[in-house]
Formats: sequence, structure tokens, C-alpha cells
Amino acid sequence: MTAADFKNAVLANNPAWAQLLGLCPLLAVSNSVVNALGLAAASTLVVIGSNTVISALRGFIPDQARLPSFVLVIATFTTVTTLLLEAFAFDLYLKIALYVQIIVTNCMILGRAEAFASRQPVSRAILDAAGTAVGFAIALIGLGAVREVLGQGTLFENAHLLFGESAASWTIDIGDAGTLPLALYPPGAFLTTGVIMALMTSLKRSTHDRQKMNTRR
Amino acid sequence: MIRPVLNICLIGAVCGLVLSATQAMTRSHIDENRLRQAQALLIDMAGWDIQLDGEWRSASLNLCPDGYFVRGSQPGYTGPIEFVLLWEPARGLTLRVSNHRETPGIGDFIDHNRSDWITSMDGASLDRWAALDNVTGATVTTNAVRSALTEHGPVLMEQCR
Repeated sequence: MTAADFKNAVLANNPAWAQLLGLCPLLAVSNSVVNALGLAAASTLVVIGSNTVISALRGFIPDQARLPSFVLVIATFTTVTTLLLEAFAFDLYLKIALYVQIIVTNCMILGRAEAFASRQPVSRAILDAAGTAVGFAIALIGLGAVREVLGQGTLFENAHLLFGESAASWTIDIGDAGTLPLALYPPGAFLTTGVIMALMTSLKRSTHDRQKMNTRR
Repeated sequence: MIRPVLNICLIGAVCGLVLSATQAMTRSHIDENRLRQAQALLIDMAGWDIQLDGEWRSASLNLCPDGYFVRGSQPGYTGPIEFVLLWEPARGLTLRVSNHRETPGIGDFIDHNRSDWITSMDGASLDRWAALDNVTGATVTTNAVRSALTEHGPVLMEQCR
């Protein structure tokens, strides 16, 4: 996998914005940057771990039973992540556990296992998983930042849940209160996502048009 | 034909080993976290200062004459629903769910951090709990909280007399 492939996985083929995969946890958990970071870290662990194992075992996985085998490996990593969160980041676990557990059904992870990891060597599978995880994390954290600022006028609130007590002072206050409290709720997640996707599509179109014009000249 | 089956068994065994190792590594931390959460919930539910022993680990706590407290679990839709239940002769029964995996938006009405429903039932009579029909269409979840009260409530209400 080249750097261009990695960039492609992160931006042009971003699992959330371009392929619309993994939207359930994306919309549910992204009401703050800290929640988004927690889910991004959990998803990264699961996608990299499962891609690595599936790639390493690709010679052993029977073709007829490949999907159940992939789900078994992904479920194992999801459970391991859940147990680690419950043991070492209990406060964050209480907030995002329900959504970490449904990572197992995240079609972004199953999609990379089926389309890439099961056909490629371990090194390429890890890079692909890293690109996918970074792309998902960018989408998650970007949406989390926009919703937190709009909804409650802060950034990095409750950072101590993830980074320890020393991070309690990391909160950045942007105004007294959020200008759009709806952004913190599920309808707000849909609306914010729609606006971000419209902006990205428009940006993509204008870049494409500019490239086309340059080619003609 | 036998080889694919053996391969699947091998993959299952590897996954099982990883899970067992992780569980063994995290069990003591998880138990400690759950215990601390139950203690914090008890203090929050009671609203009065409770002197807990440093190593309080039992499933029940006799605080008579002020109250009596139990921890327990009921089968939910996606795994056990762990709860804490406080009986205070002066205020009645108070229930809080300390750990659950119910479906977000449907079964999580039992979580006091996500919904006001369970706090609205504070002090409700056993008859009211027993008559509880269905909340948000989550039959299994509703049955679990109703059973928690109907099984433990009568025993608790015999305490502190």
C-alpha cells in the first residue's frame, strides 16, 4: 500500500463521509470530542486487531465460512476492547459502552476484512486498517467538535474521563452556552452530518471541476 | 471436508483463549469498579451520609433503622441487568440500574443517566411495580425491573421493623 492509497482511504474513500459506513455509532456517540475520541480509539483497536488476525489466518479461513469467521474475530476484539474499557476507563465505559459493543456489527470493519485483509499480506492489511481507522476517527472527532461547540459552547469537556485527572482543566469555553442545543441530540447529529456531507460534496465537485478545466487548458 | 471444520475450531479456540486471558487480566479491576459504583449509587439514592466499611463487598447492607440495601441482577434483553435497591421505611423503595446492555433508545429507559423514568418511580408501592405493563415496548427489560422489585421488595420491606 502506497502513501496515495493511505490518503485515499482517509479522505476520498473515507468510511463515514464517502462510503456512509458505521453511521450508527458515529451519530450516537459524537456529541462531544471526548466521547468521539473514546469511540475512535476503540474502533481503531478493533479494526487494526481484526484486520491483522484475519490477514494472518487467511490461509486457514475456509472460503465457505469466511463471514462467520470474520465476525468471530471482530467480536473477540470488540469484547476485549469493552473489557479493557470497563477495567481501566470505567467512567468513559459507562458513557459509551453501549456503542462500543455494536462495533461488532460495524460494516466498515467487516467490509475491510472481506475486501482487503482476507486477500492481502499482514503489512498491507495493517496499513489499510490504519487508514480506515484514521478516516473514521477524523469523521468522528470532526463531528464531535462541531456538535460540542454548537450544542454546549465547549471543546474537550470531560477530558479527564480519557486522559486522567490532570486533563480536567483542558476544557475550552467558547461562549457562555451553545447556540444550538439541538446539536447534542440525535436529530442534531443527522442535521450536522447532512451539512458536513453537503459541504464535502461541494468541495469535491469544485476541486473536480477545477482539475477538469486545467486539463482542457 | 474435515479440514475446514478443524480450521474453524482452531480459530474459535484462539478467540476463546484471547477472551479468557483478557477476562482473567481485567476481572479484579472490573469487580472493584462495579463495587465502587454500587457504593456511590447507594449514597446518592439514600441522600444521607452512610458510613461504609472500607472493604464492604456483600450483596446486602443492613442500615436499619434508616434502611436496607441489596445488589442483584435480572436477565435482560442483551445480558444481565445489574441493579441496586434501597428500602427506607420513611421513603419506600428506590431502584437504580448499575450496569446493563439494553438497546439504546428502547431498553435504556432504565438507566437513570439517560431517562427520568426510573427516578419517577422512587417510592412507588409494590402494587404499582407489580402492575407495570410495558415501557417503550421493551418487554424483556420491563419484566426484568418488575421482577427485581417483586422478588426482592417483599423481603426488603420486612426489614427495619
